[in-house]
Amino acid sequence: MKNRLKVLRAERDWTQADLAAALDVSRQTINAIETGKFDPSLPLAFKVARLFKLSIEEVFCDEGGDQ
Amino acid sequence: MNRKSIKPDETPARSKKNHALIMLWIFLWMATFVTVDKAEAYEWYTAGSLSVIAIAINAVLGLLVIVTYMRFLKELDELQQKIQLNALALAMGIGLVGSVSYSLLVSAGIAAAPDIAVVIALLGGGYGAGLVIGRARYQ
Repeated sequence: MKNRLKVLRAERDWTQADLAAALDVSRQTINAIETGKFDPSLPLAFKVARLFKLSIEEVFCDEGGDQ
Repeated sequence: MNRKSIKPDETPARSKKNHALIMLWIFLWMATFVTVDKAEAYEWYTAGSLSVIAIAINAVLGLLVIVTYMRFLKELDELQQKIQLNALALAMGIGLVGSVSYSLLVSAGIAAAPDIAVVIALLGGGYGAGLVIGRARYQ
């Protein structure tokens, strides 16, 4: 699953640690999601979308789905 | 955004606190295990009831380790949970396969009956290796 986490974070000048603290997860988790090594659960994905005030589709997209 | 004071590699504070609690209970559990084991070996007790009480204390501390670990696991974030569960699966697999293979060696008369410490070392080694592999994979 692709995501725009790194871009959205950079636009707001947040560090991975800032985002990790806001989402109450470890920095390693943020890094793993950004690099595509780990796909977040639906609740965490919604939490990310809410934090950026975007819809979930604007943050995450399924690589295998219709674009 | 309200920036919290978190260093780049820090995990949430509650995970650190739970980890410290687990280490404390494991230390106390191991300390009572060694004490009870030596007490039995050197016959420090004069009454059998003291042995039962000492073993019960060790068992209660063991239960506290389990309960604290379960709470630790529950409060981790999802990636850390995945790493922990994969490490536990690897430890159980290595412990099970290793024990069964070794028991066959004992049955065949190739190896001597193992000490329980060997099984504990297998489980501990598997768990440790699993954690290292998991953390490296998601680095």
